[in-house]
Amino acid sequence: MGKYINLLSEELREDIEEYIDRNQLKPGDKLPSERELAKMLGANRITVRDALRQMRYENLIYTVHGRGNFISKPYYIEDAKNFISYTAGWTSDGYEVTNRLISLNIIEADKKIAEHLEIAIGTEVYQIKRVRLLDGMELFLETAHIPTAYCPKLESFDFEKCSLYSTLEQFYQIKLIKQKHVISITKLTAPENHFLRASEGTAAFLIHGVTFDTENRPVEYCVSLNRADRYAMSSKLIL
Amino acid sequence: MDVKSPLYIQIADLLRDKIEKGIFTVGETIPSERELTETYGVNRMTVRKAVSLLVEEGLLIRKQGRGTFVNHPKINTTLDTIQGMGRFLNDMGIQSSTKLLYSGKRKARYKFSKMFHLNPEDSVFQVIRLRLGDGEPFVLEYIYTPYCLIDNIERYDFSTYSIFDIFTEQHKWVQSTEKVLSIIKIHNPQAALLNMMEDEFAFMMEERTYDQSENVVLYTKSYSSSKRFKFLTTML
Repeated sequence: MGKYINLLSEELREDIEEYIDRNQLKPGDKLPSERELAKMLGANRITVRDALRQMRYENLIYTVHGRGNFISKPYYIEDAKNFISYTAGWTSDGYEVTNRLISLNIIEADKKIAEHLEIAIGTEVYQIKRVRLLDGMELFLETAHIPTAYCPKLESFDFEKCSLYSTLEQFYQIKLIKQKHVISITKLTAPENHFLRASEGTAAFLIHGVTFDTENRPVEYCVSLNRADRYAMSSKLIL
Repeated sequence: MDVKSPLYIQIADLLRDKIEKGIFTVGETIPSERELTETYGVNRMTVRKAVSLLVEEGLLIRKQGRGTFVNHPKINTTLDTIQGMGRFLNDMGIQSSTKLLYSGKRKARYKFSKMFHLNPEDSVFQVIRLRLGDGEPFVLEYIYTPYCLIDNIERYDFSTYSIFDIFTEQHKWVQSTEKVLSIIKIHNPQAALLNMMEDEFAFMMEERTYDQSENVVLYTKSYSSSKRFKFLTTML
């Protein structure tokens, strides 16, 4: 079994997690040093180091150079139900939702945008780029594309304040009811990492989403980058 | 093509297009750096950067001393349905198989005694298995369930049986499943089992399955490479 699971470091990791749990360590609290953990848990330092590395790789702890290991904040966990009602979903989970508008332009649809929105290449679309924050923390960078023909004068709305979907519904009678996502992994590079105030190379969820209205017409094509060091996705299924 | 984008992105788009159109086919090498340099009249660094980008995206795969190949297409799965992975892959025309790496008892210890409401000395049953598509590993699963829950759990062949089939067969009704998908850095032995490099990013999915009394009866932690795997969701 040793080939498939590193039993020593796995058990030690469980011991460290037990220590954290029993001593009710909170996010930001410091873990005992490698040497202290080794002594306390009766393990050698190499095993301790390996267990801590696993925990760091899974974002449970973080290391401050020269100062030691600290408990990470839990992920912002997004329930899949939030996708379609972003603001309402996060607000009901108790988070303060704010948006920062980076740009709102009219561009010509390239091949990718055109395919997803089922329009001709070169059709005018709004491109709305926003950073979305929870409790003041930059988490998501969203670039939405919507054909201008569906919602003329969309640029007159302030999308730092207004929800895009509510605006479409209230002012353009477009009700969005279905969303499809493809989720993969990417690394943040410039300039994206600057918008999210993350260091270059931070892992991110790369989500391509298409949102459909009641006529099953694709209305919005959105590319989101969600910081993976602070965010996870969940879904609950009743069987 | 967006002419304002950097040259290497433009070259990457060209190559991506050829892969999508099937001009470069799965399992074949793409032209060498030198050939690409000549074809597009750009310098070698630009070509190298473009190729690296596609390697990162999983479209291409580098094989030591043999060149750069077009990778197998990504496997898509849904986040919001529990579906036998095997059937799902077969629907996509991918030959699926499961390799059982380990199954056996272990002590619950603190972690699983809390999760399953057991004593630390009680046993849990652990299954480690690798899911393959066309012979290539793409999901590594660690499955845990209280040992006492299923009669004679040892007699099941976990390379063919799904845990849900066993629950159904033994009239253990499950109520709901909660999944959390995160992105982590992978380490050994998991990395090696998935043919990945240590420190690469991977998906980690944790699933907790509950019975009618809201007790966790099954816990699964699985790792998958984003180079071989994408998740799809449809929300209504």
